[in-house]
Amino acid sequence: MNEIPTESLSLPPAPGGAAGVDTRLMRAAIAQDLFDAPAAPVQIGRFEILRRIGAGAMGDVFAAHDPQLGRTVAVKLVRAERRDAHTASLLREARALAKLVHPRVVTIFESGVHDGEVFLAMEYFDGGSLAQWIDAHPVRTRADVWATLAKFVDAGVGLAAAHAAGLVHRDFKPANVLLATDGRIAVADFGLAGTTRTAAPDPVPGAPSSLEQTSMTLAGGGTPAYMAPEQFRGDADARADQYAFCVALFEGLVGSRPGVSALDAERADIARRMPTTAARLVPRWIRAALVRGLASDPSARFPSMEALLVALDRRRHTARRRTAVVVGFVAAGLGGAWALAAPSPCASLSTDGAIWSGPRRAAVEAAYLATGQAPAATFFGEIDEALIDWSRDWAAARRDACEASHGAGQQSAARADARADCLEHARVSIDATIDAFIDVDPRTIANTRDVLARLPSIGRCEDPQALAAADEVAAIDRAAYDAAFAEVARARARLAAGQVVRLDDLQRGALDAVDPTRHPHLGAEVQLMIGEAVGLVDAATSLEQHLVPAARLAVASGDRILIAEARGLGECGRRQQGLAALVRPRRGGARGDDRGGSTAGLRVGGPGRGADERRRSRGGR
Amino acid sequence: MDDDLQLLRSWHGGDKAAGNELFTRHFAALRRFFRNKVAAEDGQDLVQRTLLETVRSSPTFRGDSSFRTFLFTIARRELCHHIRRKHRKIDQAEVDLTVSSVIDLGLSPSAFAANQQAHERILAAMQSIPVDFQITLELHYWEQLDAADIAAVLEIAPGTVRTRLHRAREALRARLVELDAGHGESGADLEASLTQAALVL
Repeated sequence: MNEIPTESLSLPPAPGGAAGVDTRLMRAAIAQDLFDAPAAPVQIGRFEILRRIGAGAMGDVFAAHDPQLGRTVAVKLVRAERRDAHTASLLREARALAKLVHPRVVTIFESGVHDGEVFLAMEYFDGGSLAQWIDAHPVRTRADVWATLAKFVDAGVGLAAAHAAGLVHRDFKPANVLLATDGRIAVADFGLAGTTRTAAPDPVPGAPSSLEQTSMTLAGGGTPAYMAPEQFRGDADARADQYAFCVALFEGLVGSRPGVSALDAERADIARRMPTTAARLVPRWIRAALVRGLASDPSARFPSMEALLVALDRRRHTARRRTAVVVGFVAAGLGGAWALAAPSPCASLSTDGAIWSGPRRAAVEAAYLATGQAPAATFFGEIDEALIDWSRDWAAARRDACEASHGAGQQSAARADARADCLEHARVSIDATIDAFIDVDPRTIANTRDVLARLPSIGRCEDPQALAAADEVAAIDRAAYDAAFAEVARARARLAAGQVVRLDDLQRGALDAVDPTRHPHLGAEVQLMIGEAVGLVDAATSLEQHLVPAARLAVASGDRILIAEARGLGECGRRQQGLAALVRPRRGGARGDDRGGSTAGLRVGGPGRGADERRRSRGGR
Repeated sequence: MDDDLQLLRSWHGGDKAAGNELFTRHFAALRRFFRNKVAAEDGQDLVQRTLLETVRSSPTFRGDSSFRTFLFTIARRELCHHIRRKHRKIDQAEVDLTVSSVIDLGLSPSAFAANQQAHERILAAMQSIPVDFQITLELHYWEQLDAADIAAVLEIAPGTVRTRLHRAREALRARLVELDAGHGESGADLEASLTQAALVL
């Protein structure tokens, strides 16, 4: 490089992203200060930016006012530098959080694009991070140990919830746990999150590469100081989060991290030889749990975050319950893990075997093996594993709901009923999914992993907003509602499994009982389902007549998961339309407006298409 | 631009709306002037100080040069004051803006990774050449000021601007060569060295 290219000396572009917001905030502040000019609020979407509250690795965060709901939110924007990489990360975070509704995980309200920049609007926390809290609360007494442990167990419950939703955080550290002065605490910064299903055999030909697989194959980033040894090799599952959690907890209790990084020290040994002052304060079982959680070999760690948390919370189970103030361990979030300790009227409520019972399991296995397709056995193994987990979680959640409703005044009877309804609907949905597995066809095999990645959410039954929707149930004839729900669940499970759903075959009678103005939640589900089915044939009609109305109903219902789903399908429809427009001219006039043709043209990996086109359509999925 | 002059007079006479209009016209240039030189949290203060000093000293401004030149002259003086204030805290050494860069002076402007697009590489390199060289290049290339105006802002003789511009380009070119040599061509190498740095921390 001998000459400076003149064009690079030209005026730099105006700052975008977070820096652009900074500029606008500065301008408004000066106009106000010097000229008494009532500054128009700096807006991103409908949010009015108040001030900058932090800078993260990928993006900057601002406090903002939501005039529609009258609350303060946190708005995250990508940095101007390395914008593409950071935008991808922000979108990954939006997807991850949309799947996950839990009080110990930061809630995402909305994602959107403003002036070409992606932003996320999230729950606002005004109490700083756990990293700041640790600095302000060094452990000097036994009581400090319990206070620190309580904060970490809260955060750990959030991590466990993420794992239950199939997500690995991959960047857990105290700076990524947020506190609010009203006592809320939640895990944040899911920008590096991926799925827990790390084994990635060759994709089945013709199978769409799912979002999950894309984010999984990305090289695992993370913060080296907290990273497990296997994560340096780009191989992180939930146990890497457990390791990072233990590094952080050690730091919280001892005041420094165990060694510099997993690469040049056996951290478990450091935990074993904890400095004497700390060792005097930190109980033996906590030290033992840290030693295990910091094992270099993932298989030597606890099998799950829940197991680690139970080990850490041993104090609750011991008879020496001297200080009952042990602080708010959130039993609910753990799916009633401690409920096992004492027998209760709910203990005999259900066995998880009922859902994934012997005959049902055998039917799916036989159907899969009968297809004679090579990956069928592998996929059945994954189904088996996922459904065993799901049934266990469901049973625990139901037992938990039961205990909560028996508990004195813990929640209103209405809320307890709503929770039970929600869980019952989850059961109906999973039954429909199992039915779809039994009716397996080659497309179903290809879609197996997608289906498993989106099993009905149990966590959403803990979400007050989702439960509000259950009021709808009470508002109409119970049997009619359940029939409509079952019909929708059946069709949606089949669509998810790649099976054909003919609109003529739907039991329209059941669906017609749903009045969308009175039952926006179920109405949205109906429109989503029909939109999905129609979309396979005619993307434009699907979008206009079903998905857009579905999105409106979803918003009316207030259920964030449904909103996200409607948006996702709508986006998909829009891309397909764009894609169809791209594909048609290349084929010349021969195809005309043959509707079946447009569907075939959209199938990924179909014969006789250029690599270029295939890439584009895959991007559109 | 005599419009600017009228606005300035009105603002000096107490017309805040006129001040706001003037501010609106020139905010982007002022922000640009400080953005690549001082930390984000100091930028607002410096823009504000520059504006206040502009209206305070407006009676001395006779309009021989454009208002923009006047504004940049004051902005550069405010930058010098800022550097002195900061430096008094560190040591008593005299600051020479034809020798020290904003990086040398510890002004911590926003960092740019060296492997970015061309303009970001330039921004990064600009931060490590002497401050007055940086200002010379910016005024010449970004703000399209002519030699006489640049001389006014830097408060030097008009005849020396040519030499100044030449030396500034040389310094920038040398810096870009250093950046290339230091980090190699590939982004992967840089990533690796960043990871190494993070491990040391």
